[in-house]
This record gives sequence, structure tokens and C-alpha cells, in this order.
Amino acid sequence: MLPGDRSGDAGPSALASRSRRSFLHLLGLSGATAVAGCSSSQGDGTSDETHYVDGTSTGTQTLNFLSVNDTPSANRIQLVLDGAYAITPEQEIFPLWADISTDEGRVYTVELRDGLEWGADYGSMTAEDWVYMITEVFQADSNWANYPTPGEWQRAGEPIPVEKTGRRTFEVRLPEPDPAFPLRPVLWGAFCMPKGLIEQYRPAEDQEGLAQDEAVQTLAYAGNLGPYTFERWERGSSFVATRNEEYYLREVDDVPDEWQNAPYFDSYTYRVVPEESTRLSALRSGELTATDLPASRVEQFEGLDDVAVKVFPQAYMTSLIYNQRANGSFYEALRKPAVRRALAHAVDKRQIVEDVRRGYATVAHTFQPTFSKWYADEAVRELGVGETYSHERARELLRDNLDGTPYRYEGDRVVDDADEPVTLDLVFAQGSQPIQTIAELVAQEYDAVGIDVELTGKQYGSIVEQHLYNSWQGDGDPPWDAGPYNGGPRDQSVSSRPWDLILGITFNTYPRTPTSIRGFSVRRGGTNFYGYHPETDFASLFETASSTVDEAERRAALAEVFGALSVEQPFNFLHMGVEIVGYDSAIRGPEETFGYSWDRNTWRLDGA
Amino acid sequence: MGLKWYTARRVAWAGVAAFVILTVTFVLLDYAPDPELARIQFRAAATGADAETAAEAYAERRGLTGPLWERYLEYLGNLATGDWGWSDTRSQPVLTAILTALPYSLMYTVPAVALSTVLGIAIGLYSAFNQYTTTDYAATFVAFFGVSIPNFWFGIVLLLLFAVQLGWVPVLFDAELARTRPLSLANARQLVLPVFVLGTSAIASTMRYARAEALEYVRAAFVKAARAKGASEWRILTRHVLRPTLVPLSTILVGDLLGIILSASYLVEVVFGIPGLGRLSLEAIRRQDTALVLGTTLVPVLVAVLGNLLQDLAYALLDPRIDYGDR
Amino acid sequence: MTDPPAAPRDSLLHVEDLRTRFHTDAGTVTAVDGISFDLDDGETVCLVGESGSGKTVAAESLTRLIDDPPGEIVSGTVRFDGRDLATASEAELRAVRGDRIAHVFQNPQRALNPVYSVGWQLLEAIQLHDDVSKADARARAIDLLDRVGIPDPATRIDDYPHELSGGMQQRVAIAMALAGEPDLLVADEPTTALDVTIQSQVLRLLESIQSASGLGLLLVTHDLGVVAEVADRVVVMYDGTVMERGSVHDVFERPSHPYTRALLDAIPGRDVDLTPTAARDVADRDPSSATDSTTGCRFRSRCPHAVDACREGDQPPLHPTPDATTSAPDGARAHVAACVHFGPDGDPDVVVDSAKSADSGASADESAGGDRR
Repeated sequence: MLPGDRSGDAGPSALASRSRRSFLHLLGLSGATAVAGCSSSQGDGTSDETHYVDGTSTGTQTLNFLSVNDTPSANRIQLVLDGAYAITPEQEIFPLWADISTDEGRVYTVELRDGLEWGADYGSMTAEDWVYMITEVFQADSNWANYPTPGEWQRAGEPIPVEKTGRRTFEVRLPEPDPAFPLRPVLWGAFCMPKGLIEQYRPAEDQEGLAQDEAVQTLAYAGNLGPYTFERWERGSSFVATRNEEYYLREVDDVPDEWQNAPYFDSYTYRVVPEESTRLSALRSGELTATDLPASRVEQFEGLDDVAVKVFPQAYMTSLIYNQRANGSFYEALRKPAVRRALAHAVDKRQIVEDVRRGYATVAHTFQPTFSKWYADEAVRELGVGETYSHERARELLRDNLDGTPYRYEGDRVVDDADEPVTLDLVFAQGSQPIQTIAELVAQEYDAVGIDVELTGKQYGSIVEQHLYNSWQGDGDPPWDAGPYNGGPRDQSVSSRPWDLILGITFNTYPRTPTSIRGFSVRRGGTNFYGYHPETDFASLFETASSTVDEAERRAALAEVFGALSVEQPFNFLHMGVEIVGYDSAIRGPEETFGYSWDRNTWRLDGA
Repeated sequence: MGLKWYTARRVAWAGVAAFVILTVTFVLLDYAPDPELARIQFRAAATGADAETAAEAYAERRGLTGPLWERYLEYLGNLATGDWGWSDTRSQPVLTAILTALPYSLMYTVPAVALSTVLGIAIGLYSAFNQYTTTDYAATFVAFFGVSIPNFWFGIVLLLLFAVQLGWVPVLFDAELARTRPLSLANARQLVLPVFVLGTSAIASTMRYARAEALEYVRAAFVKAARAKGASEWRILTRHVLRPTLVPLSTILVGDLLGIILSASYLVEVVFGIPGLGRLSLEAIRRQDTALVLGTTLVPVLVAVLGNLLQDLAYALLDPRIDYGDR
Repeated sequence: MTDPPAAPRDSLLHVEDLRTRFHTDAGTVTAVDGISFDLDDGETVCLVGESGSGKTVAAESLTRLIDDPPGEIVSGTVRFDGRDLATASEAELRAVRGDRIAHVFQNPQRALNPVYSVGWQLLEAIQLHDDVSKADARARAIDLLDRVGIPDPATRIDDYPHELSGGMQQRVAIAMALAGEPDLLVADEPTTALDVTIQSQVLRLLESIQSASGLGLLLVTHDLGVVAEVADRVVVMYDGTVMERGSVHDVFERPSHPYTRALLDAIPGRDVDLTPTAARDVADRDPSSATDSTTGCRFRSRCPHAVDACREGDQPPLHPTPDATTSAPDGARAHVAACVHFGPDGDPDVVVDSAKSADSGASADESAGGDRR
């Protein structure tokens, strides 16, 4: 998840864990609504007051970050809690509450600032609070607080040792070196709760009590820890925070001036508007300062004086996934990289980007966006564009490589060994018109090379249940089990319903910490639901990349990974998405880069 | 006395109906697949964590462990003591969530219902008296327009016209304003469109029913007799025709209006962004917030049951020919 | 179709050439096509005719109770108390209705509003024309109920119509009609919907009321027995027009028009069947031709004495019958019949003679009229 990410849990596709880079984005008090003819609905009367009203389609369910860490809740919490530190677009650490440093990438020292005060009489923020939270909540055996991703504080099944080394310092001692650790959404943007608050519920493991605690739900403990303070939360309607005069960053010297004078708005509001057209109308009328724009409406808004449209690159990739497990009707062929490469020649990625996504996407060829610093152009093989988009070539390659499979060309069509035309089942995620269109396009393209495709639209949850989950069907226990998405070897661990192609599940490509994609690319990967057996030894490549401190070595290893992936084509990498946001034209601050919201604190109104 | 016993019986029946509905809802909810669970599991798997643990943690947190009947009994017990549960998706007690959302819903449904009923009956009666005149056709046209046009589309279009183009009303519904100054002019401004949209869909059926019923009486002998007595047309309309028309009308009023409100209100609330009961229950269902779904199911059940009771009483009171003692 | 010009006497009600039309999907129907008659204080006039003759429409046209649309009073005068009701304003009409002219309808069950008590409806009748207090009005209502013979009126006043028997309901309806102390009571088949045993009671009631208060009574009926019992004068209608008119003695003893004669002959056992049926009405009156294009006498298709002259021109005007000069003065009180045989070129004997043999039967009928049913 990216900062300021509004798609949150609303779309059918987000699979990756949410990083909370967005929190800072949200915190970044960006320009206020009012100015230049737009009227603000927040704040009445004085035109000196500036208010930022952020329009979203879904509200948040809770403010208890120990039990829920999805984007909407994180967005709101970030207004009043800065989090440990931020990451700049250049992938530098920007300390907020704390600085994190390491010698060799194995032991990390976290040092908290002086002067961080909790609210509600919980005293100062100390290392004790952090260590308590990590060890008694995230690493608790029973996971009594129902933290959704306790695994992030574990390595090889064991909790990562975390120890207090001073009043305001603690150490995280990884078993293996991991130079990219600060960039992982573990400590990056991490929130904290006072020990005094948690320990009321810890001994009894009272998750309900914790969740229902008023201090938790009103963020009363936020003190001076964030640019705003909680004002009110009207469920399903608005979340309002007002300028925090005590904000700790004001007293700090090692941040640029613009951060010290933050925030530049008197209040920041999240406004829930479920109906898209209403939300967009509110942007036009000036009642909202910013909100997401669908690609189909960009043209309409670009012409307006009061609205500035900005397009931010994202790290989410849409792919066409092949079923290589034994319950497809083409799997024997799909298991061959050459066949997959052939199929990649058949689908026109440019058309998808230009026509279906109206240009608001970028073509993908491997499991990384091109803007990633680890992307290696030379290594990556491009298929499905220009010369490598060709139905004849696809046919040719297919013809050549269907040997050894039960399939062959009978005239124009691909048939199986019973001389029946092969029909592939393409399951796509309902709820998104572009996805449906892409599915239809794929069906057409495949038809042009002689393969029939049948389309079925399903709800996201159903796709997960019926096609992603797979389990061992053989006798006894599976030889190995990597979780519900990879219940064992691909010949016997299959999903409850057959499928051949899936479209609409998007993957996070982790441009900051690419080793996180390991689970997609190794045989026993936790997310390898499609039964892919790599020919390249990705496991050791990832090993190298994640453990070495030598940047050049890491780069080389990752380049090899992405190159190999583009050649092996575990699935057809189609395109990377973008986030399109419409802002009040008077807002200064957002830059059209990946990770743009990290400095949201410093956004302001023109002339402010 | 006949009326007391009658009322008591109706109330008891209401309790039975509510119980049945609650049980069915509870069981259905239990069997529905949960996409949130799927998401959590996948997320866990993607980060290399144990998806099973995450699933269990989720089940724990949402109180989904234990046999069905046990959980249901516990729920019923709490219900009786006023503890309607905690809504995970709202992070507040269910009762609070409902009571917070209720005023917003009332703010636009009550005026809409009142207006559409009064106007519907008035126009219906007028149409009956002036059948086949231009006004009658115009009224019928307006009524059918209102009921045929999709509410959400209508709302969006009106918003575009009156809020964006003309700026006469705000685009967004300000819940805080509605909560703190419900009777102010500003609140009225932001409620005009939702009331209008909901009202136009409700007015049609009331109008047509009223017209049909009144037509039966317009040519009735007793109307002629009243005219022969020297009663004015107005008196005939309001005293002689209205009252018997109301009798059958009241039987459909509650059911009809409830249907419109419960179904149309979702759309109206989504389009205008009003945090009312409609959205509350819809989102509760979507997010599988069991306690909240049950709570928000209970509310319309109670309203329906109460409404039917009132309707039966009204019917019995309005028409002296009904004898409720022996039923 | 005009009368010998009527000298406007001081009759209570003077109807002249009244025409009422209905505009229906099937065409325009002239239900009342030019009728004229008079009614004096204290007098009982009966409008007689079979179903479809237009008598009800005529009765309702007097105070314009006809539903307008689709009905419409096209022409004619209804002079009451110096005013022409046919052209009076709504306000004037409302003042007359109930207060001066009251109506009693055929089906008492339907003429009473089922959701209001008897008392409420009586009070309305009273208070519409009299500014009295509720208590006074109620007292008067109870008194009225007593007058019409409702037992225990103080209790029954709060009853609802459905709690009363048919006969009682009709009495209540009469009480309502009397509430305004009208000068003229128009009763449209007041006994037809009632039990046989109740019918005579109600008639008696009407008679006693009339003799007590001296009001005029216009009684619409198809029952000749009723006519014989209560009428002073008779107006025989057929197909929207007056066929014969005169005092009850004249018309019953010396029925002139072939239609009247046929009516009086219609005693159970005789051949001629004038029992109205729906099918017959349709057959007899062809709506497509409408009355606008009637040629000749309306009765000619059923008339045993029809001649060529009957098929030409308009409906024959009302000619004085042979006994007219002897029975009553000229004008509205004369015994007249709308038949060519009684005109200047006709020979009354054509009609009268052939029926002479049946005359004795007719006379006997008259005397037995009261107990016919």
C-alpha cells in the first residue's frame, strides 16, 4: 500500500500487506480547501482558517491499530500519530519519532527522540513502551490482540529478539542480516501505544476490552506525537482532526523548516462519500480538497481551473495468472515456460494500457515497476509489445512447443488428445469494468491464436475461496504444506474449483523491498497458489539479495531475478497501475513520484 | 375489552415474528462466506506468516468460535439486557451505532413519508373527483414518473443540477450540522433533495391507490345523497370520501411505505452520503458484522410490526363495520 | 314536442322541456329528452316508467345531482320558487338542496355513509342549513327519528347504518331528507329495495308526513300499485319523454296512450310483458342511432297501433285526450297523451276502442291497486 492510498480494501484485488507509508502522506498537511473561489464546507466564518477535506469512498472500522492495520484506519491514525520514521522517495530514512541505524544490517538500533509525550497522563514515550508492545502484543504466543500480521516480527518461526538498551533506545536483533529491514513495513511508520494502556488488558488477554477502550478509540494517548489531535469521528461520515499546537516537531532542529511549521491547515478531515459521482461533484464544487479520480473522468476534470489532476505511479501489478496445478484443462502445457512465452506474444499489452486503462497504467514485463531502483532494463525480456506482439509468432511458438503435452494444433484450433477444442476457463474479479474488458480482450486474443476462452466473473472472496485456496487431495498428509495458498505439490494440491486463467488479483511488487516477492516465485512459496515451479534458483538469489550489505551484489542478484522472471513468465505480467488524484488547484506539495505522500505534513495552500 | 385483548395478541405475535426473523438472520449470516477472512489470510501468506494463525486470530476477534446455538443464546440474553453487542466494523456498541444513525434516517424519511402521504392522498382524491381532466393526467404522469425513475440516478442528476451547477444546496451532507442544528435552515437546505427523491418514489403508489379507492366512492350513492343535502364539494371530498378511502388505504400504507423506505433509503443514503440506518445495515452485511446486522435487522422488524399494529388499530377505528372483538 | 303553452301558475315546481344528455364512450345518450310537468304544494306527482325511461335522471336533474361530466343538462327550465334551477349557480343550488328540495334514494344502504353514525349524518343535514348548536341539532335529530318511526331514537341515533335493517335505514334516509324542512321531497323508488312487508309502512309514512307538513312529493316509480295508492297526478315516461300525463283518476280510468294502456294491462297472467330487462332496453334503444336521430314516435316498435305517421317527424307532441276538457282545465293539468291518434288528424278510437273490451279490467285494477302486491 502506498501513502495516501485510497483504494484500501475497497477494490477486488489488493493482496499484499499494507505498508503504512501513507500515514505520513496523510499527516502531511496539504493545502486547504478554501482559496481561489472554492468554498470550504468545514469551518465556518473566518476565511483565515484553512481546512483540508479528503474525500474517500469507505470509512474506517476502528482506530485500534493493534488489531487492524488496513489503510483506512492507518490513514486516520497517522494524522495524530507520526509513526517511527518515514522513507523518502529516494529510499532514505527520515526520522520522525525515532531514528534507526545499523552497522552490518543485522542488529538495528532504534533511538527515540527526547520530548515525546503521551496524552492522557501516560507520561513520556520511552523504549519501554515499544519493547512492551512488540514483545507482549505482536510476539505474544497467543496473539491475544489479534494482530493481523504477527509474522512480520518473526523470523523462521521464532520471534525476533527485541531488547531495551536505554531509556530511549532499543535493539532489534535479526537472526540473519537484512539490509532492507528499515524499508519493510515493520518499523517503518510503526505506531505505538503506551505500556500503561496495554498492560490493563494484557494479563487477562482481553482483546475486547482493548478494542472497546475509549482512549484507544479516541486516540486520547496521542499527546504531542502528531501534527493534529483527534476531534471527532462520526462513523460512516467524517473523521476530523484539528491542528495540534503541541506538535513535537516544532521543537526539533534537525528537520527542514517546512516540517517545523507543520501542519499548514487548521483541520484535516476524512469525508466518507460512498457514491463516486457525488464525491466527484463535491470536488468540483470545492467541498472536497482532494479525492481519487477514476480514469474515465480525468478528461472532464483536466479542463477545470479549480482542480489539478495528478497521476502517481503505483507498485500494483495486474497479471494474467496461469493455472499450473493439476485441476486445469491446459496445465500440462501451461507448465512449460515456452508455452507461457508463446501465450505472452498473443496479448497486446499496449492496447490494454492505452485503450482499456486510457493511458493510466504502464506496461509491465516482470515483477517490478520500471521506476524501481532495482529494475534492470537489460535483463528484462519484453513480450506482448511491438514486435513481440504477434499472433503468428504466438501460433508458431505454440505449435513448436506443444510436443510432450496432450495438445496440438488441428488446423487452426488447439485441440486436446480427444480431438476436442481446448476451452480455457478465465475467472475474473467482478466489480471493475476495466478488468472485465481486459478479460474479454484476452479471450479475443487467445481466440485469434486458436484457443477458446470462457469467461466467468466472480466476487473477489469467491475467487479466493474457490480458486486460490488449494489443499492436498492425495492420501495421508502432504509431504509439505506452505499454507492455504499452497497446500502441497501441484499435482495433488488443487483448488476446490477448476480454472485455467485468473485476472483481477493484483500483486504488490515491493519496489523498496523486492525480496518480499519471494513467496510468489519459489515452489514452496506461501502465495504460489498457481503451482509454479521455477527453473531458475530464485531461492538462493533472494537469499543473496536479502542478506548482503553490498549494494552492487544485491543489485546483480535482483536483476537476475527479474530477468529470469520475465523469461520464465510464471504469469503474464500485464501492467502496473497508477493512482489518479484530483486536488484543489491551490494545493502545493504533491509530486508525481512513487511514494509521494511521505511529506504530506509540508503540503500547503498557495500563498500560505 | 375487545381492543385490549386484540392489541395484546398482536403484540405477542409481533414478538414471535421478530424472534423468527432474528434467528433466520443469525443462521444465514453464519453460513455466508467471509471475504475479509480471505484477505487476511492472503496477506499473512504473502508476508511469510502463518495464514492459519491469522485466520484463527480473526475468528477469535470476531467472536466466531463456539457452536452456533451457544452463540445465539448468548446473543439473545444480551439483547434482553440492553447489550446489543459491540460492532467491530464501527468500533462502538451496536445500540450506539443504531441510535447514532437513526436520527439521520428520520430526518429525511419522516418528512418524505409525511409529504408523500399527504400529497399522495390529496392528489389522488382530486384526481378521482376530476377524472380524465388534464390535471388528472398530469398528476398521473408525475406519479408514474416518480415511481419509474431510478432513485439513485435521479438523486445524482439533481445533485449535479442544484448543487454543482446552481449551488443552491451543498453537495455533501454535513452530519455534524444535522446533529447539532437539526431544525436550522442550513439543515433543511441539505435535506431538500433527499426528501424530494424519496418522496417522489413514494408518492406514486399512494396517489394511485387513493385515486382508485376514491373513485369507488366518488360515484357512490351516499355522495350523491350528501350533495342532495346541500353539502359543498369540498365537504364531500374531505368528509364523505376521504374517510372511507382511508380505510383500505391504511392497510397498504404501512407495508408500502416500509418497502419504499427500506429499499430506497439505501440508495438515497449512498448517493447523498447520509450516515443513516440504510447504509449502516448495508455495510454491516457487506462486512459481515454479525452483531450489527442483527441489530439493524431488528429495527425494521420492530418498525414493521409496530406499523402493522398501528395500521390494524387505525383500520378498526376508521371503519365502524370492523368488529375486532371476535377475531 | 311542446305543450300547449303553460300559464305559469303558482305551482311549487314547474318543469318545462328539460333535456339531459350523457356523453359516453359509445356516443351521446339523451336520457331525458324534453319533459314537462308541474307540481303544487301538498301534491303528490308520480313519475312512472320502466327501467331506462329516464325517470331517475329526470328526478336527479331537478337539483342538478347528475354527475357532470358525463352528464349535462342541455336545455329546459326547472322553475322552483321563482328561480330556474337549471341555470342557477352552485351556491344557489346548495342553498336549495336539502333545505327546500330533499331527496330520498332508492337503495338506503348505499345512500348512507357507512363510516359515520346515523346521528352524524342527521346532524349534518340539519347544520348545513341551520345555525344551531350541536346539542340543539341532536335534539332535533332525535325528534326526527321519532317522527319517522324509529323506536328508541335516543339510543339509535348513535348507531351506524350497517346496524340497522333496510326498512330502518330508509326511515333514517327520510328523516335526513326532512331535516331541512323542505317544501318538496323527491323520492326515487323509495320502496323498491325493501321487503314487501316494509314497503307499505314506508309509503304510509310518506303519506302521513305529507299530510302533516304539506310538502310536495315527487315520487319516481315503476310500480303502478304505488302510483295508484299515493299519486294525485301521474306522468308516464318512456324512453326519455312524457307519453301521457294527467290526474291519477284520468290516467287510470281512461288510459289513452298505447303505452299506458299496455302498462296497465300488464297484470300477471296477461300477454303483454313489459317487465324491464337489460336486454330489452338495449334492443329497444339503439345507442348508435342515438336519440338525436329518432324519427317518429319512440314507442312505435312496440305499439300495436303504429301507423305510417308514427315513423315520420319528431315524437308526437302531447295532445289532449278526449276527456281532457271534462276532467281538468287546460295547461299542465290537462290529461294529455303523446300519440298521433290523439292529434288533429288522428282518431282516438283507434286506440281507445280496441281496448274498450279491456276497460272493465282496467277499472277493476284501479280499485284493487292498493293491494296489488
